[in-house]
Amino acid sequence: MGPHRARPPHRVALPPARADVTVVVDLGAGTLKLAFAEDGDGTTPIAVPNASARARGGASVSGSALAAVTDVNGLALRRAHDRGYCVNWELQREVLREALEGDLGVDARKCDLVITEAPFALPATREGLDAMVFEDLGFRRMLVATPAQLAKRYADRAEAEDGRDAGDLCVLARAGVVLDVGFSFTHATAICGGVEIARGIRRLNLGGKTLTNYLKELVSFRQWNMMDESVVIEDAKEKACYVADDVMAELEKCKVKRGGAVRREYVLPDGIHILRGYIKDIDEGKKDKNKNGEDEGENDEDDEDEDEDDDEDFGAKGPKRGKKKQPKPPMAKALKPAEPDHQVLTLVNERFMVPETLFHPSDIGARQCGVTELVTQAVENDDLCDAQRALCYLDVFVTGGCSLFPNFMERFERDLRPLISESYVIRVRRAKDPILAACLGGVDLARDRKFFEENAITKEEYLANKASIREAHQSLEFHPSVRTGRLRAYAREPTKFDANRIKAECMKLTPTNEREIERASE
Amino acid sequence: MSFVQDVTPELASSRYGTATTSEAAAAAGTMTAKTSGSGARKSSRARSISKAMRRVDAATRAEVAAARLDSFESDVAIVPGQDGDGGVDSDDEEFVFNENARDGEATMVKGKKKGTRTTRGAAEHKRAAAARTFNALLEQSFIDRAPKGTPTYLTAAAGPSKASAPRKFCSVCGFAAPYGCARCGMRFCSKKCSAVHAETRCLKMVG
Repeated sequence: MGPHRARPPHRVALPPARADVTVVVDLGAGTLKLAFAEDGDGTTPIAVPNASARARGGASVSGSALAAVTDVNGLALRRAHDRGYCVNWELQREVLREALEGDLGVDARKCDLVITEAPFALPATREGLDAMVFEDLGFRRMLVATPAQLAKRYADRAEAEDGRDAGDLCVLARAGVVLDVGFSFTHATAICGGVEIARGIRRLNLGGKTLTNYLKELVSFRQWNMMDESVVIEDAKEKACYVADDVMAELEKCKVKRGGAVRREYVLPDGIHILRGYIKDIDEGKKDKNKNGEDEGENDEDDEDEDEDDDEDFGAKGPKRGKKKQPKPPMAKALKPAEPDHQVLTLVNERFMVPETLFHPSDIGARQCGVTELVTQAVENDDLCDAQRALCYLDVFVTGGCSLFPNFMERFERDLRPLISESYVIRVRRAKDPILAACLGGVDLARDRKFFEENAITKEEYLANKASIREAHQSLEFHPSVRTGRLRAYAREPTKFDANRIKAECMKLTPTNEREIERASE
Repeated sequence: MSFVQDVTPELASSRYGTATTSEAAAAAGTMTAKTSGSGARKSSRARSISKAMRRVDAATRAEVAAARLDSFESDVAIVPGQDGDGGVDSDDEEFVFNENARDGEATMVKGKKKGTRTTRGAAEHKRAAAARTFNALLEQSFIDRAPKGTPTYLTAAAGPSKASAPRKFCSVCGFAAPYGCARCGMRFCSKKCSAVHAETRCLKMVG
């Protein structure tokens, strides 16, 4: 424990080594999410960064200790994942072990495991996961699912929170699309009858990390060199960025002097007084302007803007979400007035141009479509019939950390509609906590003991059939014929609906006035 | 910052396109052929043009764009001197600044050509890091040889948008950019940005 490490805030009063439990791990490239299945519906998974770093003291830290590192300047993270898939199993093992033993306090050898694996993982990646879980960590049983399957499982359960009930068509038919806007990439997955449609999984090589790196490049070119400051920039991105309704209109707003209302100043952490960056509150300056009866859009307000430096309101906007959850230490607040001229990062059009790449990847030169078209590409594959597509569009479930950008959902829904034939009814919703949705889905799945045991693979089975399991991985079958612990359907017994029933249901969901218009045109 | 060397153009394109591997390979093949062909044809002329006025051909532009995207996707911040194994040049402030202040591709291609900064230690480190990249795994997995129609990592990549054309934004300030640089193709919106671009970015990525 050097001077740069603080005690993780949430590591208090954990019961000693739990055994005979099922641990649910969402093995995200950016964040590890862990929970106990036994804790049931009300549980809040622990989220720790899936990385290790060398703090300035020299000690290597990972997991929750990393989240608690006080001096984030120049913190170089080492990640076990590359492009969303694990490539460094030694590092992954250590990070996971520390999280399991340190944060959860479990003995892996006496536990069952539900773990996530990105779709289309390479054979080597799958073998690596098997080896880590059974040979290194020594779990008793393992069930591997994709984040989309678990998120959908959660979506089907989370009835009350967004107006779906258990009798909903999509819940009964176990159908829908899951859009997971993650850390490394974005996946749209069409699910029908509880099973992922292989050709209905589409990947966009853009995620939170890409956006962070893009913002890093922009800022380094325009202001400060921040190329080494991934952690700081990620925090700035989470606090400042938003999705614009109309980019061109928003850009026009920025064209007034000093960025007008769009401009935000992110106070950079200096490692002494300010440990986490924050957005300077510029409302005070605005109030002054309004008092003077001036129009916001005018260009001659330089003096007022300068005033903000003196009477700013510190820490008014705390971290809303994300990996660095601990509250700002009180010490920082006490010392603040003595620090009038700290470095700030001015963000103007970067605030919305960065998330905009999710909708238009071509803005950074990627030859891929945006998230909205990704959903249509996933659903409109040859393996689904018209009725099934209609079902999928009835439940577009959005999850993943990037969906937390303000205005993301509104923009997504608005952009999605024109891309899809008007004969389909679209219902879009987002997970209550998009970061934890998959993990909570895993909790739900593991609580169905019989279902879990039917699908999981035991350590003995794995050790006995190692060769054939490896062969199954190599064969690239989407649903391996050998038991490998990979989940096939995320739930039991989907109800089948015929096309007419689906059509009738969609009809019910169409707003009345639209129905009238339809009838009139007939 | 060594993304360019690690990623072959074929791989980069196959990760992004929905094209089958043979198509991708063919496309990459034509690209290389074009490059070398045009290079061979114009070699005498290229020498007579001043370096500042030289245009970058389409293949190089594509390569540079792919390298930039790749740097965005990189998880592992390869920062010399910060990886704990006594990386090179960590004490050279100015070098660090130049390496990082501009967009990755510039210095990368530059470094490749000059090759002066690659000491043996750095090269070894790079090789060790390359073994732990996804692209290396992808190459080893031979999933590009899977039977046609098998859904794999490569076929799951979303294709280009059919609904909207690429938009153009200024590479300097980010606003709508009606103009493109005649030399390198990057966008700019005004004379002012054009000057900044020429000074800091243009052709800094090649030669």
